Amino acid sequence: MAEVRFDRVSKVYPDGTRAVSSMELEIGDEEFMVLVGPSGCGKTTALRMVAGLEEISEGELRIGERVVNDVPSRDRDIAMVFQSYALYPHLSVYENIAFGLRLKKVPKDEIDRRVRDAASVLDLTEWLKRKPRNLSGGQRQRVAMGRAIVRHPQAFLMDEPLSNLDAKLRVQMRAEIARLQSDLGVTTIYVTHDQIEAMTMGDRVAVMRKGRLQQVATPQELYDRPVNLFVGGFIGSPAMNLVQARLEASDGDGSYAVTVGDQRLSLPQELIAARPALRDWSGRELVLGIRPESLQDAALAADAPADRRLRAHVTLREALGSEVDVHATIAARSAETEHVRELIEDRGGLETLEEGGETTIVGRLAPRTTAAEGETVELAVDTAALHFFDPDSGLGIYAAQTEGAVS
Amino acid sequence: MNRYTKLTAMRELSFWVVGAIVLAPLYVLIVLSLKTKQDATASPFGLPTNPTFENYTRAWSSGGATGVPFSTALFNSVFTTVVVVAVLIALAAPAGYAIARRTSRLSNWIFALFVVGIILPMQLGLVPLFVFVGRLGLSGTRLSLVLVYVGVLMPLAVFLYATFFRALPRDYEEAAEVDGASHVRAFVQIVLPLMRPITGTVAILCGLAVWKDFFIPLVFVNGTDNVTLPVAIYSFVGQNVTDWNLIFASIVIAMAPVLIVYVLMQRYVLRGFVTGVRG
Repeated sequence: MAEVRFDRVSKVYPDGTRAVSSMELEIGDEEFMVLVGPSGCGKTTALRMVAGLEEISEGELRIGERVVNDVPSRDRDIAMVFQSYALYPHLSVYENIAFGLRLKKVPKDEIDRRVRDAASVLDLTEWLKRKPRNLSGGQRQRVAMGRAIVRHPQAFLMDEPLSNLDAKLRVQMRAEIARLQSDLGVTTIYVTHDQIEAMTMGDRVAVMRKGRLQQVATPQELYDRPVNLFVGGFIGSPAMNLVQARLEASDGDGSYAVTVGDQRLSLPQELIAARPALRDWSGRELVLGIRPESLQDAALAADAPADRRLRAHVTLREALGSEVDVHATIAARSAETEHVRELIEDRGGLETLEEGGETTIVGRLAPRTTAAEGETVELAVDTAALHFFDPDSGLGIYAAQTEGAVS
Repeated sequence: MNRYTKLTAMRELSFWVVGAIVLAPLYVLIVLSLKTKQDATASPFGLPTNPTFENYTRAWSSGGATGVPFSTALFNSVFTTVVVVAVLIALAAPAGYAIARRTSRLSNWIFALFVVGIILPMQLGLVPLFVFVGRLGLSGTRLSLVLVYVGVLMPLAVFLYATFFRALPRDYEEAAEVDGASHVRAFVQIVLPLMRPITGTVAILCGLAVWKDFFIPLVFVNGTDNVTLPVAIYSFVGQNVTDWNLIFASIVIAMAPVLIVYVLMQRYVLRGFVTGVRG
């Protein structure tokens, strides 16, 4: 068991690409840390540097008290689960799990005991004699886990271990791995591109983009207080709606409102109190973030005040049973900053920014909603849960200008 | 779907025809090897009137003009082939691995050199090679045969290994390293077993090349007790008379080990070639 510390660690390839840029991260003893980000953000490179499979170009990496920059992987006492599992095809499940112990010259009966323990925890006992190719995907995944846990290492490193499983199994294994980790209490670094995995499994989540750490926080904190547009847009599904808006102070009484196109949403006092920096923005354009969950069919929330509603034209209704996702256009400009454009590219570029004065927003409504395609719907907005970002720097607007200044 | 239609009949017929064409020489070979000399000259292609194994025993013990018994030649062939294949695998696998995993320019150049080595006919260097072997004092020895074969076949073996190692994902080695294995250990215990199909291909291609080669043993060990089967067979070809029945019997003896190995390892042979084509 040990902490893992990145001290301004960078990875620079010979051609000059910076895969990871001065990464500062401390992973506590027994902590489950998830590195998440779109592909190519450097999360896997960071993990491989901890594993010793990738050289560290700059900075220092510590596991426990030891600086491991020049320690070969075999001496780092870490275990890794690969995306491909990398099970040794010519060895039985038993031998796959025992391989690391045999190398450490653990006595035979001790190996046997540990392998059988691991197998029973992972429900693999009856497959021990099989070869990996005769196992299902889920079983292979568990063998890979078994290979890691028998070693009782200082840290587990997992590189997208669930991405080759089907959706149902993934959900099951997600819970399994999280449970196993907390039972064993081994420091774990888990890499994924799936923000749901990140949110459900991690004690803390580190969001990365283009080789830089964006924010390191608990899942709830990431969701509630994203440090910038990227984190706001990346965490949460469906993604946060981002629209161009204008903050206005009402005369005299100290209350504020945002105008979205020709519509006005008045802001509650608590919101302004929680984000005092907003006061500097009155009369200026900013990017307003509305989570789909913060929208509701006003017809079902009769007590929603009239000044906290948005009128929208429904273009698509997706019924999910427990809720209904409604895609609707509002008369407002999309947030067309550089950051939003990059965010859309990161998501795969499927969405496009609408031309002219229309923006599509997504609302996650209660299943009783009667909103139908082609009709106009009144959406009640939970204005206390709105997010605001600086259109130039992309940073979230909270207490002071400097907060969380990572670009 | 298994109905016996006209089409099936045609197909079956064509199988028989092709089979007959392919097997005809084999028939001649075996039939002749069982005939006495008189019988052979009288009716070369008919069934033996009086089948005899005498040819086999004569070929086995006495040998031809050189006087090397066939049993000795068989031993020489087996010895040379086994040693050459073993040395090739022991050297070419690590060499190919190093070439495939090192991404430096040097390793690309070395790889290119090996490819050139495949293309160049060894006969070009025959005279200097012969002189060199002589100066080493190895003329006519089994060791000279082994050295020459290893040198001639190494480029092919290295090329095959390097190509396959390039296609092998690094994950296995990395997993072994994280598990605590040294590079050498990871190579021997994890990587090499994964290369079994290509090791089979190298063994078959190179083993057959050595087994059936006539030229190199003729140049390097002719006239000694170290000749291999093809040269020994040739010694039955006399200046004036050739005992075809003896030659054919010795050919059957020379084929037998190859056939036995093939039957025993058929599965691996085919897999090796299939993987070879795909990779």
